[in-house]
Amino acid sequence: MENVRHGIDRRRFLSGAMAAAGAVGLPLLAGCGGDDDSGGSGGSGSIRVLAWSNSPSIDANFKARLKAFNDAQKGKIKATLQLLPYDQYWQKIQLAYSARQPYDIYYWDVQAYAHYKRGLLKDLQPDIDNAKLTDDATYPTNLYDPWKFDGKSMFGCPENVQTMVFFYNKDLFDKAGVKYPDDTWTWDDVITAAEKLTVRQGSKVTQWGLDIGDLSIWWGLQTLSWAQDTAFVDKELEPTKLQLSDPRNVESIAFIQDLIYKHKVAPSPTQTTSVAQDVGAFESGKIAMRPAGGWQIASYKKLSFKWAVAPLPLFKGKRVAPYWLGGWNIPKAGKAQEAAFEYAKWSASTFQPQMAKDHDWIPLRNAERSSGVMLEGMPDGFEQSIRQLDNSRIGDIYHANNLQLIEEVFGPTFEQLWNNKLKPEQAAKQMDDKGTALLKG
Amino acid sequence: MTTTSTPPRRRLSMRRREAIACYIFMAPAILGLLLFAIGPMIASLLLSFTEYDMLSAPQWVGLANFQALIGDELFHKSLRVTAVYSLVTVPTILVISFILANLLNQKIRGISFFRSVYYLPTVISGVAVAMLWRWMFNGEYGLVNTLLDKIGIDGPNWFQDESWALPALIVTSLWTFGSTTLIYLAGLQGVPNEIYEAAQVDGASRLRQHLHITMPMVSNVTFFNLVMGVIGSLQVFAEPFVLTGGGPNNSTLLLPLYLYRNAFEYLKMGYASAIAWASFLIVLALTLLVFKSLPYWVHLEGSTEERNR
Repeated sequence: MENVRHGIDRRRFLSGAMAAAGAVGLPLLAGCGGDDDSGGSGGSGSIRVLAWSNSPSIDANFKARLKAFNDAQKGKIKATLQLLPYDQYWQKIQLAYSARQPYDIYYWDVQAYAHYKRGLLKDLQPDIDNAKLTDDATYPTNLYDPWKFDGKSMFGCPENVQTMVFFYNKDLFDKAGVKYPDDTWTWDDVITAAEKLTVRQGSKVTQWGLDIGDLSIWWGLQTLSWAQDTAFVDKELEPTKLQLSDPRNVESIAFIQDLIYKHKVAPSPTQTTSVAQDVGAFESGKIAMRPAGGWQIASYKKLSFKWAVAPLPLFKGKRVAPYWLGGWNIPKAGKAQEAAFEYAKWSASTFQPQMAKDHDWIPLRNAERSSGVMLEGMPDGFEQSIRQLDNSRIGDIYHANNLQLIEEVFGPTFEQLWNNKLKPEQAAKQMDDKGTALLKG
Repeated sequence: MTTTSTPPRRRLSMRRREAIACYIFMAPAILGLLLFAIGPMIASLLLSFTEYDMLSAPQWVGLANFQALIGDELFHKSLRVTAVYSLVTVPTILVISFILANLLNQKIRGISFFRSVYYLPTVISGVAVAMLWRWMFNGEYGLVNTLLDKIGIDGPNWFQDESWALPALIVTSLWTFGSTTLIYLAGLQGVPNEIYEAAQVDGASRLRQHLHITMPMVSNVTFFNLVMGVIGSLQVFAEPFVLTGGGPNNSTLLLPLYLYRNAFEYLKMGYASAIAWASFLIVLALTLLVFKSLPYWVHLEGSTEERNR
């Protein structure tokens, strides 16, 4: 039976619900009902900025940035910042939209694609053009394309860029007399080094050569497939099918599983948790190498041992790193859109030298990304690692069901894979079947 | 100067004044119920027939959400996980609470201290208790595996192991026996001492006194605890959310977690409302079943006279 779908006006729906509630006495509610246009921070001179909380050091930088902006805009714009835990962040944005009081500007992540799909985001291309953020000589504009969801306009204003790096514990390398990783390393070199760096006492491993780290997540693992000129989906924007059963993708999956169960140089998820619950695998000092997001650098700075980074190792002679743009979205219904864009523009231009100094996010502007201020105090190998951006691909999938795909298809299947409860071919087929159905649904 | 005569004030009768006072006192509770319980329930019922993402207007889809539930493998899995969880936790908590309440009903020195100690876990926040259990069940350094190791058992990595995550979660939930124990204790203290004295005169052993006096006399309390336990077990959220997030491989995906995912992560508020109503219907059916069984095992004071009348 085909279900008939009728559009219902939100007001009609809510008034219907209200009327139904009224039958049991809800007219009393009416007095409490809010006016759609009241109460917003609105005003051309004041904006509400929303971002998620990362770590105490990054949060402190966010607050300092806001203060610097307010100082620079004194008498013109007054910005207030709200930092929320990530698991409450999207709920809050959605509730604000639902209450017709959207935040004036909020930090992007892939969930905001759903907001674009529903026509809630402002087309920022004219503003971005006017602000000269599209100058090829100043900004890496070749990285912008994935954010042009309609093929021509940007619906987010970028300000920073992130990638993956290969962390290693220098102390453990020195102790084992193993040469440090560099940009010539292949995954075979990693296995050889990891074997030397894995320490066993009887049947118990007390130090692991490697942790699969973010290669256990779809976007990290996919870098091995990119190196073989394939990917997990047919296209990043509105994919129509998963193609994990492509033998090259199966090979990527099998390679990671083998690191744990064939070469035995990396812990299984259960072993990792035992080593590092609430501390983090690399942070425990019992793991020599770990591929992970470069944003970990800020929090790893507090570690008591010496460590550094290298570019991701070559897989079958090739390296393709993921990248992510960080930036801002402005709701179409925002009441202070100009002031909000001023904040985004200021972050992507005036604030870039300070962002380089803060060492939390990698600045978008070319000059700051490789500036002395940026590199000073950063770990060895950082400069080499961010050069990967020249040959990188977006680490996102833009689809309305993308979270469900990650949570219900990728997540549980990879959990089983890394616990050796599924063979790579089985897992690939399972993900293709379920994932493609979700993408079509 | 003119004088105006004021009409005599009509005095309200005592009965009417009492009624008004009564309504004023009741108003906050009734308003709270209407605004925060009945209103949202009606709204969620309407939403369950729509596709609604909180960002755009709801689309009427009729019974599509409920039809989708029938074929939803994860919904079925979450039902199975919830059923196992409830079937184990509810009776176990009842038994533990009953035994504990009996022990706490003794007239010994320092009994108030013990009563406070056993109730303490109920006062601590669910998340804090969850974090505590997370460490207790740590595969490498946890207290549970350390103790198992002492008797030669190599303990699993509880919350990370698909086969052991749900049993571990069930054990953590047994910690919350405080309220049930307290209600049992109140029930036990209401059992007249004369009945025990008469039984002792007749030569009844302690076990027989428990089986034939205590248990029937507190059966109404058991009934109340059972109903509340069933309802509560179908609403557990904080502990699985903090400890496992529903994993590994959805082995601890309790119904409220699946509802939360759909509502607040996938923005499928209509579908989540359908799950909520399916859950409500299950609770209702189970509660009715328990009520139906009431005459067969619950001793109600005066029920014999009622029947003989």
